Amino acid sequence: MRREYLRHFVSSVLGGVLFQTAIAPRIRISGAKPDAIGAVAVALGLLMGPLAGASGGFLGGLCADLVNSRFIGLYAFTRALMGLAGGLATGKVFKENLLMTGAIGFFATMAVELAGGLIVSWNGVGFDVVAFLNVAGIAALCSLVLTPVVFYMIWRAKVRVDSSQSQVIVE
Amino acid sequence: MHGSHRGRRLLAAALVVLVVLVVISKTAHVRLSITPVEGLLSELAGRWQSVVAWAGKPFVKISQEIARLRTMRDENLMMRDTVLKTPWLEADLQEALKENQRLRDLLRFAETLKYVYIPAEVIGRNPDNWLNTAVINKGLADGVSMNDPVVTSLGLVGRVIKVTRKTATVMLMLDPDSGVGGLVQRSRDAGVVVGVAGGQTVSMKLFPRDPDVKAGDVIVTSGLGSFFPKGLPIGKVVSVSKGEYGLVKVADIQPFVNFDRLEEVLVLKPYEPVTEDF
Repeated sequence: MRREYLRHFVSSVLGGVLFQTAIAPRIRISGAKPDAIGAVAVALGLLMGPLAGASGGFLGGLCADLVNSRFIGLYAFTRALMGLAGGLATGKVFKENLLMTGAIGFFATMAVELAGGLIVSWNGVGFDVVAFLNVAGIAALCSLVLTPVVFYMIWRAKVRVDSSQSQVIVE
Repeated sequence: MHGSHRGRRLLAAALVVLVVLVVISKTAHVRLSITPVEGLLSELAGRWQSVVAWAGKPFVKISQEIARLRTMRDENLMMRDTVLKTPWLEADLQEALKENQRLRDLLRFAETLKYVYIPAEVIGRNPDNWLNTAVINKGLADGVSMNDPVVTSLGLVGRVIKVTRKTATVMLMLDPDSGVGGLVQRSRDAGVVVGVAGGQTVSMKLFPRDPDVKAGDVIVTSGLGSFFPKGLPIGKVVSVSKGEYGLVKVADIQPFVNFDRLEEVLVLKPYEPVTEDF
């Protein structure tokens, strides 16, 4: 990752954490919360590569875990997977298509919600598959909308950095 | 050369995954103490969450007012219809209101004898969709301690599982790790009320071989466990079915508390009477 992008990386992750810990739980839809950190991780992965996506998801998720979660590392791990998925998809899809970005957010959320559910279940916690699929589906639908918005915001910031860099080179 | 570099990266990634999975397993259940990092971050997040909760209040109020107006309109139409059909209901209503007032006074009296309340505001919820916890703006400094029961005016919410100086984390009744001793109010049959991951309702596994329970029955706390006092309303039975392996009956319960709109709660402290030495 280029040094100029570091500021945007940090502010995106921090923004995701603040949203996820304080605002997202207030807009629960049928028990599911929008996943801002996951959306940030996918967007970072698509724009800056798998390492940035995975580390952004991991750091953001870890902060959220430490703030208010019982399974420390679970949210971090699953969101790192989302960032990694975004990063791996970057060369294979036309990421500028916001619908495609939303679709990646949708499938990544669905996959990691189920992966997280399995880890929770593996640790001896009761797991209602039908109820859980319902929640995972709604969370994935939220990501379908949220990921393109977050992607667009980070992309705009990145474009601004790139254009200011090229101006410096021309001068 | 390139191959060994790739192998090393894969090994590092596998190691990280392994460490994370071990940490998840180690922290999977309710712990008696929290790490200093968790404490510090919870305190910082608590402040931020308080600000957001305060700023979001007008919006929440507006949405609640709209919902209440809708409910009131529907209720109004329904009640008008009912009152027109049966005028004697007014007398019954007056009776019920008076009875209600008397029972309220009695309840208030009983409550003041038994418990001390710490009013608190919900300032945050867990970030994930697997578990169900809430953060309140009262902590050790306000007298909140581990395992204190938390209620609203509608019924049981859960119990405190983590406390910092200014905040506390409450494990909601919906949480898959939560277990509450319950009682069918009508038949007095006992059981344990548990939550499930991803679920919005709770279920009660009944102890008796042939329990007397049916849809519409009210479930209250049994007071048999060590955390919750007896008689706190939990919810209403929606359906009854045979549990796994058909050994016990399981009742699906709709909690009285709306966990999506949890705002103000009360932390219950056991009343300790002042004893005088003679």
